[in-house]
Amino acid sequence: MIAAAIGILALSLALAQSPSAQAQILGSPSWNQLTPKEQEVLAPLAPDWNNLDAQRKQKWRGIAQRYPSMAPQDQQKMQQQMRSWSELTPQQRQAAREQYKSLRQLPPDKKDEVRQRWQEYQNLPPDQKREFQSRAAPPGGRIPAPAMTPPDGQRQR
Amino acid sequence: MRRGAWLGFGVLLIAAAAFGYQQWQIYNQTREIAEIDVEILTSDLPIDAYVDRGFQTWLTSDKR
Repeated sequence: MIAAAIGILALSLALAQSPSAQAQILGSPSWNQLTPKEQEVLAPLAPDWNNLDAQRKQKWRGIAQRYPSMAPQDQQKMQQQMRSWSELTPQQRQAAREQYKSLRQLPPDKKDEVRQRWQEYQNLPPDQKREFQSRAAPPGGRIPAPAMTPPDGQRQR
Repeated sequence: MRRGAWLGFGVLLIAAAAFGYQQWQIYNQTREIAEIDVEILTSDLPIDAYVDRGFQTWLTSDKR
């Protein structure tokens, strides 16, 4: 009896760790199983939807749920960027999240400066851009940004 | 026998709790990632600005 119970415990924990079991638990609906509203919001992802893993599908369904409460300009931005975002590798998405979390702690004037510097960066000659790219830190090691450090006591949102 | 049944019940209870806790963690992790992704997708900067490592180096550079 005890051995059987321990066996069930071990089996259930092992199954819960496996991606296929998580897909069953989280639900991995095909594109046709989504509601018409979800399909409308997630339309940019339609070509790749069936290749997404269960957790990403759940994430996007959660985003689709909050979509109606978003401001119209945010809805438009999201629709425009959704496909490019989906095409990034998991490592690129994670790096982008880390970079975003780092930048969002900046005070408003520094955020404006970042936007301005992005515009400047866009206008750099390709050779110079390549030089900066080659000087970039290896993946996983974020670049220290002393000029972009938030003031003391500023908390992350 | 009775002691064995209680033990078995206890182990099953632990299994259910561990399973529930793990699902709760997955749910929270998914929700947190979704929140950040929405913020990135609706931010003033394009996605490239968060991905381009050259831009990240440029930000820390004094060259203009």
